[in-house]
Amino acid sequence: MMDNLPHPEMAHRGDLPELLDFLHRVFSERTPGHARFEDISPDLFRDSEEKAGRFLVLRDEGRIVAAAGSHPSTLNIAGCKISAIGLGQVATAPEMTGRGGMTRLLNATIARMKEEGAAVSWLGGRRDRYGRFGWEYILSGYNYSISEKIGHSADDSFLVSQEKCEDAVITEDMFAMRASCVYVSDSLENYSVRITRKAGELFMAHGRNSSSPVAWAVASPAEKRIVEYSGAVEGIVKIVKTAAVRLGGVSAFVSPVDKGLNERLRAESSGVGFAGQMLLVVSIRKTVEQYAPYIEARLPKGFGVTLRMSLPGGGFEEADIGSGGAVVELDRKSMVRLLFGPERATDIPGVNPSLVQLDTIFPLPFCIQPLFSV
Amino acid sequence: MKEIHKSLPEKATLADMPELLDFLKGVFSANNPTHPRFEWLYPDMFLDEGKAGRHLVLRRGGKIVSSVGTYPLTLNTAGCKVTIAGVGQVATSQEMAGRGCMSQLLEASIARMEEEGVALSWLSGRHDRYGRFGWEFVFRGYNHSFIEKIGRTADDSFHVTQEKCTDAVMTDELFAMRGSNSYISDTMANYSVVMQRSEAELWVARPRGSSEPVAWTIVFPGAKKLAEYCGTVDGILHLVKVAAVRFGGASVFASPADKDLNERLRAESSGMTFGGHMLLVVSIKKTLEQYTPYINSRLPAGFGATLRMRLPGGRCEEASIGGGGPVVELDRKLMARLLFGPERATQVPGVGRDLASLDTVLPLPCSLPDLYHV
Repeated sequence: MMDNLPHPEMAHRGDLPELLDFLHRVFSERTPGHARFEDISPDLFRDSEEKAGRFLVLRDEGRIVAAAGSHPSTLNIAGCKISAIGLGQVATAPEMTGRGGMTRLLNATIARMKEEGAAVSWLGGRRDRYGRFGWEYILSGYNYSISEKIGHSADDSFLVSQEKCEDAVITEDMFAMRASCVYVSDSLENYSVRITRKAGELFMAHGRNSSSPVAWAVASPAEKRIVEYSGAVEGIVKIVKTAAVRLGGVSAFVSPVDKGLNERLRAESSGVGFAGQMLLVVSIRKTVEQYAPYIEARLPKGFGVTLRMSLPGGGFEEADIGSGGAVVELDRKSMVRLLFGPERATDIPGVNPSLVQLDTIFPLPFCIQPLFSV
Repeated sequence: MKEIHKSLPEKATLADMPELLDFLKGVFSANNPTHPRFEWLYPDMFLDEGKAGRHLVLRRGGKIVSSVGTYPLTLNTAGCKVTIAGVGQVATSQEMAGRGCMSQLLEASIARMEEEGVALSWLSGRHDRYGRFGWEFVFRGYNHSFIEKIGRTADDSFHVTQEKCTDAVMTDELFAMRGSNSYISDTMANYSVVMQRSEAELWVARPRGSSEPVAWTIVFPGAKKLAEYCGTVDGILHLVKVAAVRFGGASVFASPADKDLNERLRAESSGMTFGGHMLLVVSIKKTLEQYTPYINSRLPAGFGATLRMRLPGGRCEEASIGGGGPVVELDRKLMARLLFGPERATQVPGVGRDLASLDTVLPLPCSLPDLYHV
């Protein structure tokens, strides 16, 4: 069946209107009333060759019949810079369903990620649909909910301003504050478009007698959610509480790496939940290389191990922890679980229980702030 | 300022049950007008003098104005028998809210659990409400969901019978199968009532051509959930799939201790989330003592640590892992996080990086089947 399929091709700037109409048609059939993608993620569909080229499409008689977007980013987490690619806008025309178009597109997309030097890939879709390609579910952090009542417990040490992101100006000083927490690298220009997603609002906290912000956050009022934040912990907590009062309760996702903020929100939240993320190890070598600062800080003296990731088609890829040692051979899904948890390393099928030192190194932290979801 | 309530907590008696049940219905219906009566939700909990005495109440003018139930259970998991008390039916009449009734009853309930030699207590309530007494949100396990389409992949190797638990007979043979997974110790007589909760149904899987059951489950049709299960992994998986077809999707919770089942469910489910619950370490000594088989199987040679738990009123309690060693002193909430995760031990505030060997021992598994929730 797959032999009759067209080959994946990169979309071009001129294809964007057709691509957007195609995506809207497919997603609206599943979810009537689904918003158009240029409204959901205006930053991903900016009118440029570069943005359009992030989509692979299949065409049948000249028309787009399947598409998959892959959006590279650099995650800054725990002193590491991780090249991670988000997968999104995966769609097949109903008349093409079951012909293997999606499999062909996803295989091509994974191959492209590898060529581009990505370490990992994330997505927000179904496990059964994407699991067979190697994406697996990991624990990425904590969701804190703050009720309106708790919001009212905020003291008046900071003033919080609020404006629509489409009217707001992110200054270079504010933009630089993003490094205070886990963040995704971006250009100020692109970020200024990104924050307008979902009618986002910019909340800014500053001292009572100061115009300098101590913290700021982007909130999605419709979702009652803080989708990104930066600055001083006290300032962020104040913003979260203010948003809880103004929006009638709010939630915030926090990476385990942002420990100070985690402790403060945990202490004050009305609810805590675990958040997950589907992740694919595109390259074990790149992943181990890019997480080296985190791994080395936890590496027991004299310990080493070789991680071998078996790949579809019989190949494999290897990387050493420390100077290498006993080989741990796993497929892509088990490798994700080993590296990113939440299970202990020695609880993963295929990992020798004698390698308890791995439990002191893994899991590695990974999360993408909701503002950057694709 | 409202006057603080001053009467002493008293144990309810069987004669108090009609009043207590009306009181609970009244309080819970104030927030949720369709809230079912508690004798329907938990028919096993209000049966006799012993069960009635599990509720502490406060009275004013002779009438019940506040109540808390504590229900001790023995959890059998990962080769350990752990005494754990569920806390539920926590209620205060509207006119007495804010007068300290709840604090008084919860403190009395914790003292009672300590006296009764309970290791842990769990509940499913709000983080901010119960956190100040020492309950903390920790990892429970995996919630696997199955869409109807995946349910239809079930082969015909088993046939499944279904009947209402009110009509079903739990045989000795079926009851003995509960040891196949993590389970709560119970008597057959009590279990026969427990399984009638929430209009539950008993589903039994047998190989085609055989009358021997290979697996069975208690299903909550309203929640589309398998509330307890036991037997072979293949049999349980078949039951989940049949439930997914019958209900248009179904979910099942699995303890991390039940590894083979988790692997199969993970391989076939359409979705997976991480579940948590609120745990209180009633006694660190009892907890470590009861988890000894699990801890010893993971203890690195020569490693030891002393865990000291700070208690209200300046008290503290100590227990050793291995032959003891460096002291880790934490309050109840941090101790729950250290013992039950999902954080790594060394990520819990107050635990030194030099104690990385704790990461190979902890977290401990603790997950109660949904059937026993209170």
